[in-house]
Amino acid sequence: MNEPFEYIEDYFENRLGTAEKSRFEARCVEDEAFAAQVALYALQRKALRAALVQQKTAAWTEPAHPAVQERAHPATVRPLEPRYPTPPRRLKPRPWLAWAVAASLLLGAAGWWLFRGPASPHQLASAYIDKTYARLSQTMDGSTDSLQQGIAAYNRQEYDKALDLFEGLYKAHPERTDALRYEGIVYLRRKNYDKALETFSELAHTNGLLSNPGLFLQAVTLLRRDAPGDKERAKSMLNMVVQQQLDGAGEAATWLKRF
Amino acid sequence: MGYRQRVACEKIFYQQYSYFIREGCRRFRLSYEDSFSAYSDAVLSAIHNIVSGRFADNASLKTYLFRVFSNKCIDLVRNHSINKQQVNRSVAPPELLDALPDTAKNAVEAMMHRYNEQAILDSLEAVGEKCREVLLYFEDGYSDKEIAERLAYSSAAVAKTTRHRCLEKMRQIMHTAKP
Repeated sequence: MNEPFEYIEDYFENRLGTAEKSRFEARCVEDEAFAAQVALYALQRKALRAALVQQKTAAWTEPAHPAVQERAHPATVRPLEPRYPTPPRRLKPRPWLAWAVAASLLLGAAGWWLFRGPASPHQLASAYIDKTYARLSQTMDGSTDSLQQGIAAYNRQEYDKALDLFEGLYKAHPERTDALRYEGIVYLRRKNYDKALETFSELAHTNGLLSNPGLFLQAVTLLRRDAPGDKERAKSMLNMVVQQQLDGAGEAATWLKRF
Repeated sequence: MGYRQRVACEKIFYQQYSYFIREGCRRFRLSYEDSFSAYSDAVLSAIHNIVSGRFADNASLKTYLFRVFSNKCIDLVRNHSINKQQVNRSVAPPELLDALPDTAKNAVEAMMHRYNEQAILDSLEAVGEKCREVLLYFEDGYSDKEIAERLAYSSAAVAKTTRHRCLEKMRQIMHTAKP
C-alpha cells in the first residue's frame, strides 16, 4: 500500500516526468479507486497542514522565556500576555489629518447646502401651517364677540375653549363661515386631521362666498397627514385651486412644481 | 540555518506584521479568529515559498506577505459563502489539488465525499507522536535527508518509508474507526 502514497507524493512534489505526469492525471479520471486514494492523500495533507499551522501559531505566540521576560520587564508586575498578538500602535502626530478632516466637513456642509433636494410637499404644507397658523390675527377694535374670544383662546393655545367658541358661533350664525374656517384650523393644529378635513370640506361646499379657502385647506391637511393616497388627492385639489383661481392659488402653483 | 535559529526567525517574522490581522477584519469583514488563522496560514506559506526559492524578489517582504494573506482571507470568505449555499458540502477542496488539471481535479474531488475530514484529523491524533512528528516535519518543508538528521534515522530513504507507513497507519485507523 506504500507504493501508491509514494507515487502520489511524487506527482505533487513534481518528481515525475512529463509522460508519467500525464499517465497519473489520466488515471485519476479513469480509475475510481485510484482517484479515491489521491483524494485521501490530499485530505491527509490538508489535515497535516492544519495541525502544522496550529503548532506553529502556538510557538510564534508563546510568551518569551521567564528569564527574557524578567530582563524586559524588571518591575514586579508583569503585563499579561494576550491570547492573540496585538497590532503595534502607530500614533504618529498628523497635523495635516486634522486640516483634511476640517476641510472635508466644510466641503460636505457646503455641498449639502448647495445641492440639497427640494422640500417635499409634506414639508411645504407643514411649514405653511406653522408659519400661517401659529397665531391668528385679532381685530384691534376691542370687540369681544365669540370669534375674537375664540381667536384669543387659540393664541393662548386653549384649543378646547377656542373650539367651543367657534362651533357655538357657527351653529348660531351659519353665515359666519370664518368661524367654520377657524374651527378647521383648530382641528388641524390638534392633528385631528379627519375632523379638519370634514370641516374644510363643509367650507369648500359653501356657496356664495367671495373668498373660499376650503379646498386649499383640505389639500394642506392631506399633505400634512401624508397617509397613503393623500398626496394624489391633494395634488388634484391643488390643481383645481389653481385652475379656478381660488384662495391659496399662489401657494398651490408653487407646491405643484414640487410633486 | 539551524532549527532553533529558523524557529526564532519565524517568530520575529510572524510578530513583525501581526497587525495585518486587524486589517483582515476590517477589509474582509472576517472575525478576529478567522483573520488570525488566515494570518498564521499566510506566514507559513510565505516562509515555505521563501525557503523553497519561490519568493520572487520583485516585491518587499511585507507586500508579498500581505498579498498571500489577502488571498487566504479571500479563500476564507469564499469558503464561508460556499458552505452557506451548499450545506451538504462541508469539505473545502485541499489546495494541493490545484496542481491537477481540471478533469482530474474534478474526478478526485468527486471521491472526497467518501472520507470524513474530522475522522482524518482524529487519525492524525491517534497515529502516535513519532509519526506525527515525522509527518509534520515533511509538511513544514523539510527534506527526507533533514528529517533523518533531526530524528536520527539511518538514511533519507528510511525517513521516507516511515512517512508513508505513517500515512497508511492513519488510513487504517480511519478504516477501523468507521462505524
